Amino acid sequence: MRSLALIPGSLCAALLLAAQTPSPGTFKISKGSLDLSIPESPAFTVLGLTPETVVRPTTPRELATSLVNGVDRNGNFQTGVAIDTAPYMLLAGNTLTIGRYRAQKMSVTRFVARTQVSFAITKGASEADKSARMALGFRFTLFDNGDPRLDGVLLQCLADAQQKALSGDPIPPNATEEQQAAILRKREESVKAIAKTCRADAQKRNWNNSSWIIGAAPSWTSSDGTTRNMKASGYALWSSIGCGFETVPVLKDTSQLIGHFRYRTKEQVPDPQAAGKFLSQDSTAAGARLRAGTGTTTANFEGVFFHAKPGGRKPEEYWRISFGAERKISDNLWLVLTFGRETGRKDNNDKVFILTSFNWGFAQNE
Amino acid sequence: MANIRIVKLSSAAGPPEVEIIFGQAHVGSYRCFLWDKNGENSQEIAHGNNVDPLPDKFSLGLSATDLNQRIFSCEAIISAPSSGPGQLFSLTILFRQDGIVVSNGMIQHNGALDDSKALVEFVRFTV
Repeated sequence: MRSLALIPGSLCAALLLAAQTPSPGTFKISKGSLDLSIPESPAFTVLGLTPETVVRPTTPRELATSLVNGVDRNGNFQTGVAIDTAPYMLLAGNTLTIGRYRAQKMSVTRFVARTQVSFAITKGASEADKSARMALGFRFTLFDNGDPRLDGVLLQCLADAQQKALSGDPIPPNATEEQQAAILRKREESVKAIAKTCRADAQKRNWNNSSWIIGAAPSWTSSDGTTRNMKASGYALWSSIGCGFETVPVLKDTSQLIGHFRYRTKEQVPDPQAAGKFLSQDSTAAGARLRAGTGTTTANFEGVFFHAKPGGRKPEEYWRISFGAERKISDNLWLVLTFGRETGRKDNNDKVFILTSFNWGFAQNE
Repeated sequence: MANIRIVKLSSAAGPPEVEIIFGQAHVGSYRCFLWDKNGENSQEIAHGNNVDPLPDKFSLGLSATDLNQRIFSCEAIISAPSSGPGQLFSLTILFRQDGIVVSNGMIQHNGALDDSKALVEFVRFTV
């Protein structure tokens, strides 16, 4: 298990060592177009409401809301909402210039600015699971080569669009407010039209770039769904490292390998032997996911090894293998579909599962 | 007529300087003009963006006395590297003499940003 988890990290580290930091003007833009989709909320991650087990190491959103309606891995329907924020950007972002954000290769300011805090609450909507769960998630981005703020080509493209919109006669002081508003609106439309292309090109360059995040999240569970019975239910620690194959020409624009490790304590899971009852479980998971895609669709293959210790029962180890796809339905709306099966359970209780969810959120995905 | 702020300069202090700061780690471009007392006869005194390595700080090129009652305008556009709701923008314009921000010399625009935002600010100098 341990060696499996180390494979993507070691491979990525070797490739990163060989990688040259891309400089403005040296990017090769392929005809394909890949999107980042909506990043998983850290709080949703610990509550098990992301269809994939392996968390993608993406740049966090500054202020976002995510809704999830779907079936969890235990087959129970869940609804939930998560609020994600980057506290530094909210509290001190007015003084953070793009120059300071980009200033150094290793920057404390950038690390703090990317730190994300999220809160999520979910509710089971089936007879077998009426529980309510809450989580407070913290996510730290150690590095992210796909951060659009670090893409010099994108920034120059936006600046050029702005300069173009600012050309022409200046707005005179004696212009009426209506005249001013009309000119400003025209300039915004001009920039937006060009910026859309700038960002689309940047996504093609950056969607699968290497990155590394770590996360932590305490959680609370109420087995009957009432607030008065909400109790602490352990915590989770996890890390994901993504390798974008920046030095492998065949793969660098189409593929990403993500290694993932997660440790979870005192998770309240439905007891498979007693409907409506819950077990306290500690678990460790390690695995990897390979993503590949074209257009606004990505496919992924995931293999994860689990070691779980349900309270009062024998530990169990098993694999979860899944294949999934994300499809952009419209701006900020993604359909996520995952098929999978477990294998290796001692009680031969391996499950086959199909997870679907609509992810809707205020995401950075245009 | 546009809404014009008053910025008070000191005739005893040095030549006024202006600094443009785009916050929230967004991309910003600007151009600034000096107008006569009647808001006519513009003269571009600076333009730039925060992507190039050049400082976004410049002198108005006149003494405080010569700037008395003249109008200054600054036009700016701010763009987020990633589009989408839930983001903020911040534009700060600072007027300094001898390195010190003058009275009413800090003008700040903040708000929500989902893509790009165009702004204009007018200032009349008094001594």
